[in-house]
This record gives sequence, structure tokens and C-alpha cells, in this order.
Amino acid sequence: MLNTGKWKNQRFSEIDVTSPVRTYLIGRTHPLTELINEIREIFISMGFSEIGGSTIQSCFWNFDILFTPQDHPARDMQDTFYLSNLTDEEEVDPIISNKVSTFHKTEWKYDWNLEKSKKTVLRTHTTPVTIKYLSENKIEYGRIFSIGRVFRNEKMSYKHLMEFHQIEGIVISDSVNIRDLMGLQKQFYSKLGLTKVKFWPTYFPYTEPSLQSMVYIDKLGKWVELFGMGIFRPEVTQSAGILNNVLAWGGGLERIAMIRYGLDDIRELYDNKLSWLRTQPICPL
Amino acid sequence: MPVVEFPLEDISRLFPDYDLSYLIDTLPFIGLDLEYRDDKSIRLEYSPNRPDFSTFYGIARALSGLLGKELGIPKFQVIEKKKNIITVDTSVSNVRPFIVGIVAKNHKLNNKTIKQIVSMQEDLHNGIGRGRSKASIGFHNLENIEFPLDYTTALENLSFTPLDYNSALTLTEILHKTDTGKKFGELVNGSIYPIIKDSRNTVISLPPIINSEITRIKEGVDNLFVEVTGADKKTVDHVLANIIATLADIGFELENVIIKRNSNNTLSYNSEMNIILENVKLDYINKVLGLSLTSEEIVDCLRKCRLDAKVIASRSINCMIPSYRIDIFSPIDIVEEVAIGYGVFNLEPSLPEFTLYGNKSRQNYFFDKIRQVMVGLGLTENINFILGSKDIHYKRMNMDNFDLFTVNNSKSEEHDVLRTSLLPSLLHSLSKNVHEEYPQKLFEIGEVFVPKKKKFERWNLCCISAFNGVTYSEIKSVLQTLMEICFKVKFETNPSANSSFIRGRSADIMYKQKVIGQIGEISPLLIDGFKIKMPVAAFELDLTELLPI
Repeated sequence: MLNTGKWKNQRFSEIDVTSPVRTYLIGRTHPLTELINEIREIFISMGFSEIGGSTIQSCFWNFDILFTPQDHPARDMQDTFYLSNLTDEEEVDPIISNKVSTFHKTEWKYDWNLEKSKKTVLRTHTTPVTIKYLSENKIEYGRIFSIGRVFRNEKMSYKHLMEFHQIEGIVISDSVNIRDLMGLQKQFYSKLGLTKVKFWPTYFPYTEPSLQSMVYIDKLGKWVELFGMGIFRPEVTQSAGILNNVLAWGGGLERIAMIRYGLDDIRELYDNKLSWLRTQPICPL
Repeated sequence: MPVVEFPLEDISRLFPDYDLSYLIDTLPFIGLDLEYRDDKSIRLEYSPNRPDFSTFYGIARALSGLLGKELGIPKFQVIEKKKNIITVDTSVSNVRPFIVGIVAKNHKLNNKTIKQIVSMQEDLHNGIGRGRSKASIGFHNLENIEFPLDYTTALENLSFTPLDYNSALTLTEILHKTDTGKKFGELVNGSIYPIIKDSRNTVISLPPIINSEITRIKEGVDNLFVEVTGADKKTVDHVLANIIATLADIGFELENVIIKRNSNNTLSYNSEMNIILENVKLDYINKVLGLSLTSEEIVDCLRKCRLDAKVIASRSINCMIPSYRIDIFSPIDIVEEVAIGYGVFNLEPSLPEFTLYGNKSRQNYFFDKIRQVMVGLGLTENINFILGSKDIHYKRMNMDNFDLFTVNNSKSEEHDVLRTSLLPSLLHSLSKNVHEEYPQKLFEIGEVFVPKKKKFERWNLCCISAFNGVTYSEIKSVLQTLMEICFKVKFETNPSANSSFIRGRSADIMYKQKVIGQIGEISPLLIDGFKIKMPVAAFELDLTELLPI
């Protein structure tokens, strides 16, 4: 009809344009991927470059170089996943391990054991990736970030997962200070749409000073604790052969995802229920 | 993280001139987390590196400083008493070498104070005491003790009446019958056991297991003897310093306890025994904080943190740290104290200059492109845990060999092996979604761990398609589209036998003469095992082999 031009003399029957139609099932990325990509873009817009590294780490990189003593409770099997029958055969540069040994001996007052540091764990945070990267590349100036899986031996509940994503931002320079770290943090949050931020002192084994931040979530009408931050201790940077100050911040990604997607149970993020995946708005207005 | 309860009436009693909510709002700025609040009390979470926060007295001590109410190192008076002696027998040196003690007098214990003391004891045992190995504490009623005491060892057949029992047990029985004996017995397992007995030969403690019933502390007791024993001298001293500070703040009068190791070697607690950190540079402090404080201002900040400092040269200070603090190692720790004294709320956020250009990792550049193709093909992304169960990753997959990494002591049986492929989780995902509309087409990009490969951490892509009428060609089309449209590369499918797929309908995916994955129609055995009730086709690709990542 279109080819012959016959349509010119035809009348089209009317249809009910208000009648309902089906919504297509479309392919889509996981909401967590979408959030990760958004956060990745924020980092990049702030001049950060992405790094990645091993999920299985030796105790040396996960704990020892980060000034966490070998009898620290966080290293207990209660909290950390140790791999059965896998030790890290890769030799740590003796210059680095000697420094670690000395710092643990003089400051924590015990005999540091090299063999214990070769046990392997599922990384409990992404910082081993960061410190290894800084140490191997001898970087003194820069901005880097990573987003990756981390593990804690916890019983799963609506509040806790034994496996989740951590994001981590790092600034290294001779001229940066704690106020800069707070400023960068505010800038990062504001790009996520979070403008009310509070800071207070806290403790992490490998940073000093250390701060905790809280942001106000309008949707929830309350303050929520998000990222921890600090400046790497000199014991850590000196062991890694770094001279400049290293600002670091990080924390779990899933908590932001729960707020974003209005979830009360953190496990839903890994449930892969199609009823949920197919209906989450990709770009809610 | 340990938690301390701070009754509101005690906050008001200790800080009568301040507004209650102002005080509570200030607590986070000495490093405490408000965990809970009701109309009677607040609960504060603190980090174990601050054992002085294990009672609300210690918290009040720090808060007084930040408020400017009391400044500098607190002074606790300890009266010298020649008769309070513990003689240490050399036999303890291989069992539990160190002991220190203190006598506290003239304050009537009530239930609230006992509760604080017990909670402090518990926290110190777990934290700095490292599960009672490095140090443990015993609180005793002084009335039933006669100095001098002996810290010595005994054989397993010695007996005394332990706490909560009404008849004597031998040391062996104590180790096997009492709760703490079962829990901490291995710390003293040997042929001889450390004990403390008084001058009448009454055993008052088997450290670090249990005290005797006779020296039990209870409401109404007003004189105490406290001993700390342990494997590490420095820890034992730190623990005692914390106990002394708390007992003094509670209102006890303190008396020295002399430790006699042998005739010419005596030791006792000295209240002036502060830690000194010399020659901390002002410029260093200012550089890290981004401030320009004068030496006087810095000294003032430190005194607000209950430290003391002396200006020694124009740009340098010596810092004095009370011995109950265990968290100060080097100048950077002083920097943090200055920040806290200055008030973190007074620190203005700033932004460093930068001219850097960021980028995403090469790996994620590739993964994003793959996602784009998968979504275009109508697939929905899944994200599963790396830690899975043997049931899903092995049994239900009908696998004959079993080579995967496992983790020790997982608190959940469903999560104790590292996945070697993504397919099992996606099949599991289909089984959870049998009531949803078909077709169901899923994909996942994720890390897998293959013990037999040299580089055992690998990244895979898995695609799975389930609907009535799904075929091998359907899933091969997905693979081919990815390889051609995304990467513009050629691949081959060589027939192969794989127990997860239907015989004669599965292949190895070949790229540059290497096997980089498997493809096929899923075996009905698996479909049955996962209770999917729908034909399924899938492929899994080793991206670490395919991509330059």
C-alpha cells in the first residue's frame, strides 16, 4: 500500500491510543555496577586513576606492612578468612621486611615473625593493593583509587555480608595535609549529592591522624556513618620506601547502594532476584 | 569494638556546669562513637588502643581536658607502704613471669562501681591483655589477705576454693571443670602452675584462670588488692596504670605494692613514670595539620588531651604521656593529639591544587565494553559472591574432580569455597527465579580462582539463557556476536565432553589454538539438580586468557 501510493485514498481505522501495552524486558547492568561506575566517574573527574590487585593477599601486605601487629585481634580466624594450604611464595624485598620487623619490634615490642607473614588471606580491605602499588612503583605524587571486593568472616545478616565492595582513594604528595583530606572528602560526597558532612577522630592501625565521617541523608532524615580516612603512618610509608604524605579514605560501597535503592536488607544486593533487577529504575528523576 | 555504658546521672554528677546534650555531642571529638542512647544512659564504642576509655571515669578524664576543665597529665597520689610486698619466686619465669599490684582503700563498693570494674577488666583482658595471655587482672577483697604475698608456682594436686564454688578443687579440676579453666587453661598448661598466696599460705589466685572465693569482691567491700600478672612486662605495667587511674578517679586512696624479685631487686609503681617523647618538631605538626600554630598553642592543645609538653628549642617540644596511654609511639601520634586538642570541628576543610588526569583501569575499560554488548543482546547482569558452597559449586554441578581453594573456619557453611567458575551461581540464580517471566538471559563478569592454573586469580564472563526452545546455536550466536562486534576476533568451537553439558552438544571455545572456555546445552541432570524445569544453554569464557589485562 505504501509502495503504490494507494494509501492516499484510504482512511485508517482508529485505535484506542489509551489502551495499556507491555513493558519490554530489557537487558541491563546490575544496579551495583551502575553505582560502581558512577563512583568511578567521580574519582576520575577528580583526577584519580584506577588501580587493581590481588584478592588473595599474604598477611604481610594485608596486615604486617600496615603496622598491624601479629597478635592483633583483627587478625584472628574469627574475623579473617585464611586460605587452607596456600602460603605466599613470593619473596618480599628484604629491605622492606627488615623495616617492618624493626618497627614491630621497637614500637609494638614483640618479635615479628616472617613465616607468619606468608600465610594468605582473602583481603580484608583494599589497602594492601594500594600500598603494594605505591611500593612497587615508588610513586611520590599522584591520585589513585580502587574499587574491589573485600572479605570478613562474619555471619551474614540483614546488616552484614561476609563479602562486599570497598572503595579507596589515595592522594600522595609532599604538600598535602589533613585539612586537604577533609576537603577532598567533602568534594567527593558532594558529587554523590551529599552536602552535609561531619568529621571526628577515630582509630585505624595504619593511619594517623585518623578521622571518621558522617553524612546527612535527606531521604532517611538522619546522619549516617560512611567513610573512614587518615594519613598513612610514617612506619607504613617508610617500610614501603615512600617519602611523602599519603592521604587515604575508604569504606563500603553497599551501604550507599542500600540508601540509593531503598533496601533494608543488604543481602538483597546479591540475591539476583529478577523481579528486583528488572524493575530498578536506571536513572530515577 | 568494646562498649562502655555512661549513665546520664553520672555525666551530670561529674560535669555539673555543662549542658548534657552539649557534653554528649562533644564525646565523638575525643574519638568515641555514640552507639546507643536512652533516657537513662548512653553507650559509647571505643577502640581497644585506648584502654583508658574502658570505664566512664577514663572517658570523663579525657572529656574534662577537651572542655578545658582540667588540663595536663592527671596526678594520682600513691602512698608508699613498706609492708605491701609480693615476693616473686624464680619458678614463675617460665610460666607467667610478671606481676604488679596496687592496694586501694576507703571507698565503699556499690553495684554500679563493681559493674564498671568488671567491664573494664573484661575489656582489658580481651584487648591489651590479648585474651589474658599478655596480662590478666585479679580484684580481691583486702580484708581476707595478709601481706606479704608470694607469687610462686604449685603442682596440679594443690587445691583451693575457686570463685563461685563452695568446696576446694585441685588445680587440675579447676582447669577441667570451671568455665574459665576450660577457656584459658592452655595459657598455663604445663607441669607447674602460677599461684598467688598470702602469708598464711591461703591461695588467693590461679592467674590467669580464676581467683579464690575467699577474696571475692562484693557490694560493701571498701578495701581492695589488685594484681596484674602476665607474659609481657610492658603490658602488665600499662594495665596497672589504667587500673590505678580508674581506682583513683572512683575515689579510692591508693597504696604502693612492692615487687621483690630477689633480695636486691625491688620494683614498685611510680606515679611519675610517664612516657617521654623527645624533640617533636612544631613544623612537622603544622605541616600534617595544615595549620600554623605557635609552640604555646600546641602545648595547650596537648594539655587538653591530658598530656604535658615543654618547649625545648624555638621549634621543638618534649612530650610527656601518662603511662595509661598505650597508643602513642612516634611524633605522628602527637600530631593527632594536637588535632584532637585543637578540636577536629575547628579544622577547616581545604582542597589541594592539582593538575592530574584520571582514568579507569584497562581491565574495567574492557569489562564495560563487554557489558554494553551483553545489554544490547538483552541479557541481565548478575552479581554473585566469590565465596560459595561445595553443594552448589561441586555436587550439583556433577563434577568429578574437586580442586578449589577453601577458607578456614567460615562462620557460614554456604560460603567456604572460592568459586572456580561463574556457571554454578548463574544456574542457582535461575533456580531462584523460576516464577519469573521467561526468557531469562543472564550474564556475569567476575573473578574466579583456579588452583591448577599458574596465575590462579582469573576473570571470567558467563552467559546463560533459559527458555522453552533455547538451543546451542542460540547461545553460540551470543558468543559470536561478542567476539565479532566487541573484539573483532575469530574463534572456533571444538566438540568436547563436559559433564555439565549434554553429550554431543558441548564444545571447547578455541582462540589462537588455546581453550578459553566452554559452551553448550546444560545437562538435564544439572537442570534437575537446580530445579530449573526449563532448557538452558550457556558459555563461560576466560577473559584473562582472551584480553590483554
